[in-house]
Formats: sequence, structure tokens, C-alpha cells
Amino acid sequence: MSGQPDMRVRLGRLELDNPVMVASGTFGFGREYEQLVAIERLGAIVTKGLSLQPRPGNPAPRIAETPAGLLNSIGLENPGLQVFLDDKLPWLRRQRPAVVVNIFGTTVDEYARLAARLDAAEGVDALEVNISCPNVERGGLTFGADAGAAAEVAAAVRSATGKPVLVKLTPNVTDIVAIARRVAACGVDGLVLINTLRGMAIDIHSGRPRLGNVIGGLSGPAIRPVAVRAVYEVAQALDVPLVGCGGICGWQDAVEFMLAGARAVQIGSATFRRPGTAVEILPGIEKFLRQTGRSSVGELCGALETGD
Amino acid sequence: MVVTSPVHIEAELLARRRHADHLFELEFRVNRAVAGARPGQFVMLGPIGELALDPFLCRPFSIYRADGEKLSLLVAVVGRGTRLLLEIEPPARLGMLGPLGNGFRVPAAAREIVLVAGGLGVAPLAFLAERLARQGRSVLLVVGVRSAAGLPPLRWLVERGVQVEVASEDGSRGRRGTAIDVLGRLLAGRQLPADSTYLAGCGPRAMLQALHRLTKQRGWQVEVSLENRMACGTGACLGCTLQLAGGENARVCREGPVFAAGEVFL
Repeated sequence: MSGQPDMRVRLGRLELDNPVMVASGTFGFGREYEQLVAIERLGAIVTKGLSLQPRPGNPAPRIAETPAGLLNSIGLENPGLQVFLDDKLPWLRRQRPAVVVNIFGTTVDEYARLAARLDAAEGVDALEVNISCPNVERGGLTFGADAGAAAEVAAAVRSATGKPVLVKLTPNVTDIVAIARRVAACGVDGLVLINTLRGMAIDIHSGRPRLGNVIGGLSGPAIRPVAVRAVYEVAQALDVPLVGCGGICGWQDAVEFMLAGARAVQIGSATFRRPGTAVEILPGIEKFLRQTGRSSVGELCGALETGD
Repeated sequence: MVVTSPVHIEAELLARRRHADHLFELEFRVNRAVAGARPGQFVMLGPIGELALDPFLCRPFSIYRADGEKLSLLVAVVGRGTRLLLEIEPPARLGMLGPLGNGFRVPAAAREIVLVAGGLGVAPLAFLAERLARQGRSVLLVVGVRSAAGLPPLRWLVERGVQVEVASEDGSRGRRGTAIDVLGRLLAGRQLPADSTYLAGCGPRAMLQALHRLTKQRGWQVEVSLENRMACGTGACLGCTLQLAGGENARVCREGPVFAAGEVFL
């Protein structure tokens, strides 16, 4: 097979030039990496989680390095919707990649109001609903770990906006398929799997937790097998478009998620090690497609063989 | 202020010099963009081993010296990451992101310049002292250590005209006491003018707080360089956010690492 493979992907009504996005919370509002990353080559930028009102976040230390990953307890520090609309969005909307705004609320109504306000915002291509942050007392996991509450948020956002809606799920549950099924039934455009795993680390010399908030969310390659499993299980059970996220550092990892059933992927913690990771893995995916005789990246989706 | 855009490069580790028991200088060949850093700026170094995932993150280091296309960092063994870093035999290649952060802002009108370093905090202040001395400005650098075994070489600064005072807590070198003790004695009875005196500190937080207490009534310009754990170094992850004295958040990597002392401490 010769020629460039077709890298375009579709997540419901959201169309992307290529399947590689940067994950929420690891790329700020994009401009932080303006000078370091060829941003125009990203499939999408997913913003830092946004709430209606500004949030100060959690006490320090907020970061603890762990084997093959890190714990964070940032606590959704963000400048709030109005600052986003005034100061962040004008730059973002001039960029080539799709702009996906990650939204977070402490009540169903807050999610709906955020979605309605962003529905009217020019340059916002889609919303990613965060019902999976482990670092906040109210909201986050309390919605994402309960199928009924998760569906309630998804339905509220769905009816508040005509824009494509992705919902980011937590792995901190017994049966992620049950939650995915209820959320998908709300008519969302795709599911993002997975947010961080709840974790903890202790400084044995001080006898204190290594995070100010004691417990945080684990990300990085340490969680990749958990994320691949989650994508695989949901892909086996449901027909909804999936975005794989969790510890992707190289093109091989992205292909792994796609074989398990993801149409697109998000790069998170790896950006901290190497700012250009998300754009640098694209040629590797393209080369793999050519070498395996595939003409489009969509052909990888769910191509896993489990039989004899 | 000219702000240099950060770049991500492969830095070439040229030399690893042991200055004291646990204190090393790593010298790199970088490029003019990174070596064009201002004193007080830092780099993210790593990951240690491109394929190794543990340690996973890069690490922030203040710039100790920079000239032409060369840059060096002071590294002490503090944990597993720095131990592995110091096991790397030059020549070797390591990822480097920088220059990052804001740097010190010494007013052009400053005539009395006093820099106060605690431990490894000497790195960015040695860089600043050298640059100021090169401009022909008179600089006093107070370096505090627990004992002489923790001292980096300072002769190169003296040769460039920097006045260096060493304070050691065990009295093994220079004056006995902490950097702040010695600073207090040096300042006692001196009437330094408010509008042309500049101080900068870098070291443990308690030392910086003491520096602020000692100087806050005097009307001088005092800056402190802070450190914190950080994942990205670019302002994206919000891992290094601190609450300033006024209650607002600031990212050490982006709004800092250099802050006015009065912004940080009450």
C-alpha cells in the first residue's frame, strides 16, 4: 500500500483531522505549549477542566512521582468560565485543531449551565464532560462512579447543547461497562476512557503523605493496561465511539488502544516528559498503517484478534 | 524585559565534576537559545534515560553557569532521581527544556546588591553575581552551608570581583552561623538607601522567610527564588501552584520562580 493513509476520524458528530488529542489537565489551555509543540498537527486540544466559577485547587504538594507515572491532586484549579471565554478561547479558536472544552460541576445544574453557556461560544467544537476527577470533594467521582448519576449528568449536558459531547469515565468502579452503557444511551457522541486511578504514596522519612490532599489520581504508563482493558471491555459491549487515554508514550501505545477498540487517543502525562509527544507519534502510526496494508486509521479500530 | 522562548533540545552532557561529597556540577553543551538564559531561570532536565519510565518525570534545576553554548547545573544527591542522574557517564545526551521562568529583576539603579544563598540556592545566585560583576557592578554574595563539605567552588566568582562571604553552621569555613545570621551582622548599623538597594535570596523556605523578616521594614527591593515540585515546567499542569501572601495563586514555573519577598511572605 502506498500513499498517505487517511488519518481522519469521526466521534459521533465530531470530526478530527487525526486521532491524536492532548488530554485535559496536561496541556493547560494550549497556549502554554505554543512555542514548544507544533500545535497545528494535533487532532484536538482538550482544555483544562473548566467550572462556572474560578477554583483555587488543592494544597501543595500536588504532584508526587511514582513508578512509571505520577500522582496528582491539583483539584481542578481553573480560572472559571468567564476568564476562559474572554482570555483563553480567542486564541484557541484561531488554532487548527478542534477545541474540546472539559467541563466540571458540583451539581447536575452546574454542568447544564456550563454546557449552555459554551453552546453559544464560537470556536468550541465539543465538550468533554468530566465526571471522573478523583481530587474534588463534590462532583467528579460522585457522579462518575454511579451509573444513574452519570447518566443524569450526561443527559443534562446533552440537552443543554447542540455541540458534540464526550464523557470521560473513571476506572475507579467495579463495572465500567454498566456506566458506559447508561451514559451512551443518553445519545452522547463518544466516551473517553480513562481518567486517573485513585492512588496514594507516603514519604516514609517524614511519615506524611506525599500529596497535600493525601489521595490523588495516578496517571502515566503505570495505568495503561487498566485503560486498555477498559477500552476493550466497553468496545466489546457497546457501539459508541471510544477515545483511549492512559499512559500513552509512543505510537505503539496508541495503536494498542485502537486495536482494543478506540477510534482516537489522548496523550496526557507523556507531554510532561517530552512536550512534543502527541504530534511526534503521528508519523509512527502512519508508518504502521502503511506497513500493515491499511489505508485509513479507522481500520485499526477494534481490529484485535482474540480467536485462534 | 526580553523573554527568551523555551525550546526542547537534546543537551550533551560534557562533564560531571565533583565539588563536594554530594555536590556535583554537570556541564552541558546546549544551544544559544538555552544558554541565553537570564539568571534565575531554570531548565527541566530529563527524562533520565529515554526508554526508562522510572523515574518518569523531568526535574527542574536552576542554571548555575551559562556561556556561549554551554550551561551547567549544580546537582546534589537528594533522592533516587538525582542519584541516577549522577550515575550517567559523560558524554551522554539528555532532554532539556528551557530556559523557563522569569529570572531576577535587578533594577538598573541598584548600587548596593546583596545576594543570600542557602545550600543549593547558591546556584542561581552565583549565576546572577557573575553577570552583575561582569557589568562592573559591586555584589556581595553570602553563601550559607551546614559545613564546608557542602560548598561549591567560589573562587571563580571572587576572581570576577564578587565579594563572597561564607557562613557555615558548624564553623568549618568562613563565619559561624547561618546565612541570615551573617547577613544580619553585615547589615547591622549600615544605612543602605531604600531606592538603590537590592537583595535576592534563594534557599530553604525558612531562610527566605527570615530574610523577609530581617528586611521588610527597610524599604529595599527584595526578591526570593522559590522551588516546588512540578511536572511540566511550562505552566500547564498547575502542580507547582502556591498561594501567595495576598491569597492569590501563582505558578512557581511561570509567574516565578522569582517573586518579590512581600508577595510571598506577610
